[in-house]
Amino acid sequence: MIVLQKLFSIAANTFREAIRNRVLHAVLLMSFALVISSLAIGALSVENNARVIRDMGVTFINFTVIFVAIFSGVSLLQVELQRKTIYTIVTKPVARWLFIVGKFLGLAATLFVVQLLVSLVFALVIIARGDPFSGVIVQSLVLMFFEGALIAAVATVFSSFSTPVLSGVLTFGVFILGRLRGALYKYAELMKEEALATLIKGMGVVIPDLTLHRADIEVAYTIPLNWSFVAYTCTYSLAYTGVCLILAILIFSRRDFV
Amino acid sequence: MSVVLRAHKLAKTFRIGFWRKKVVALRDATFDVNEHEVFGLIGPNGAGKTTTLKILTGLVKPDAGEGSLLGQPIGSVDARRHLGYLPEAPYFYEYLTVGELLHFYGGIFGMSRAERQKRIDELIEKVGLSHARDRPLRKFSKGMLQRAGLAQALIHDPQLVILDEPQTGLDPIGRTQVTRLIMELREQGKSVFFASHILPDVERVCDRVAVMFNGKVVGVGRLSELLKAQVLDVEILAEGLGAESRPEFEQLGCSWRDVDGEGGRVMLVAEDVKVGREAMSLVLQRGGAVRGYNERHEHLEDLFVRQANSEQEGAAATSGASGGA
Ligand SMILES: Nc1ncnc2c1ncn2[C@@H]1O[C@H](COP(=O)(O)OP(=O)(O)OP(=O)(O)O)[C@@H](O)[C@H]1O
Ligand SMILES: [Mg+2]
Repeated sequence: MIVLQKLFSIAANTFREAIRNRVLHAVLLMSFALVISSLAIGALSVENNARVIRDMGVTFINFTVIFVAIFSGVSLLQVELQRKTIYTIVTKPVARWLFIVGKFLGLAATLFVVQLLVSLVFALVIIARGDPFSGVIVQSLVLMFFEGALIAAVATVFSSFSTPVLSGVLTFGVFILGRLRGALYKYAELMKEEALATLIKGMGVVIPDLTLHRADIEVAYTIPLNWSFVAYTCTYSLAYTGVCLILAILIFSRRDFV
Repeated sequence: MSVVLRAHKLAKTFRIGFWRKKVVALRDATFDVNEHEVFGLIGPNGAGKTTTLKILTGLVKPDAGEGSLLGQPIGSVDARRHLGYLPEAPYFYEYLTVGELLHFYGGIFGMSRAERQKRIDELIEKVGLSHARDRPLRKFSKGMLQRAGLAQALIHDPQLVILDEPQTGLDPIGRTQVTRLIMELREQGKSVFFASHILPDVERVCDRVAVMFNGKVVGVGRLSELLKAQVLDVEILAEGLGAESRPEFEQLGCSWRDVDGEGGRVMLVAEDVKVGREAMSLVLQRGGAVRGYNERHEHLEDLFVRQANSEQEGAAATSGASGGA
């Protein structure tokens, strides 16, 4: 029970720090503005502007979530190390795994709230126009959240041993490769160069398959996804997130805090 | 009397930079702190005090040696259950107020909200931060952060308190408050272990000290034992002596220093009490007057200097024989 209270304390503190951060406020305002501006852009487009607005809205939400995941993920541990606030936590009866899991839960909560707020604005935009807020949008929002959590976990792994900037670049790289994974695989199949093909396929083993999380076309044309597919994707990304956290814990537990 | 903190042959070498260059921070830290004791770890800058404290609190893993806190091996979660720690130059979550900060730390210890509230009110009062309760920590001065740091170290009423330079950054009032706080903790039956190089503060509160030089604990004991009991030298302030008597005093084994320029007062320093007596009668014989007489005993500062000198000699003697530990 006390473990839960410790986890909760660390997560709540991380969440509170995050939502008082000015950068986050700026990002939120910006994405509100973008989502609302999609109204104007949609009005300008010649054909089906409901589709354009849906497409843009979901893309902006996705941007925001990925940005916050990378930005907060790379600083999750680094800020604690740089500001030395970690000294006062890991010297209390808090195991290092508990510290990392607590921090990560706080980050996930932040991501959730950010996504919820931007999604609410998006929903208002859609409803104000009289368009239906279809189930596939909800499905795609769920997928997006799990993708965000996965990327945040990747950022946490990198930031457990490298600088925030480098971690940011590496995480962004993983994100891009993850999005291109399907295409890269196909490319590798066609390739003559055996070694390179094996390399790409080998990379595919560690790079997360983020193509699963993309549902732009379904959202644009309102084609509902299969719930079992959504469940599968969420389970997949949860597992990936878990492995990342274990890795981060292993690396972090070896470190000296100096 | 039971031992609450044990350090046995702790050693640590850091590796820095791209080439992983070795920096020896700690060679041998060995000492025990007993229950109900205020124990000081003293030594010049870079001696390895902070490194020792970081190893004991589990922040840094030692390369060699072992230690325990309250009977539990260092590095374990159990060892930290009844430990309060104030890091060197502490820093906190800057968006929180001191009350929120302490609530957070109290939560980590599993304290209930009511329990926390009561304790926090007490502590904020005790460390003198009542006026700044609702200010975010980002707007705190260095000394105020230090006070917040003390409060967080004591949030769960720990049995053992480890403080890294608790007086640094504090004004004279703050330093006195910290000194009083440490004494209060001892009265409550707690044990306090702290690192410092503010020697008067150490002399005032510590039951025992460990002296650290160059990563090695070179002496442990009561201050009165560590400080040489005998008189270091004797200072005699004399007046009305002519410069012509100077060689006579120097022959006796006294140094001669003009205090207010030539022909004025003279400070004579005799190497021991016997020479001091002889010098005094010589002053009178030569028609002078004795204005001051002071037998100097060793202070912590002198111990520092003595150690530093012998370390240097030791290093000079062994250099070449071995390339360091
Ligand atoms: N993270 C680190 N990386 C490399 N060297 C370090 C590190 N931390 C400490 N050192 C070195 O270890 C030695 C001991 O440092 P430490 O901070 O323990 O000294 P200290 O006694 O606390 O000094 P001070 O009185 O200045 O606080 C120093 O030579 C220092 O340069
Ligand atoms: Mg220090």
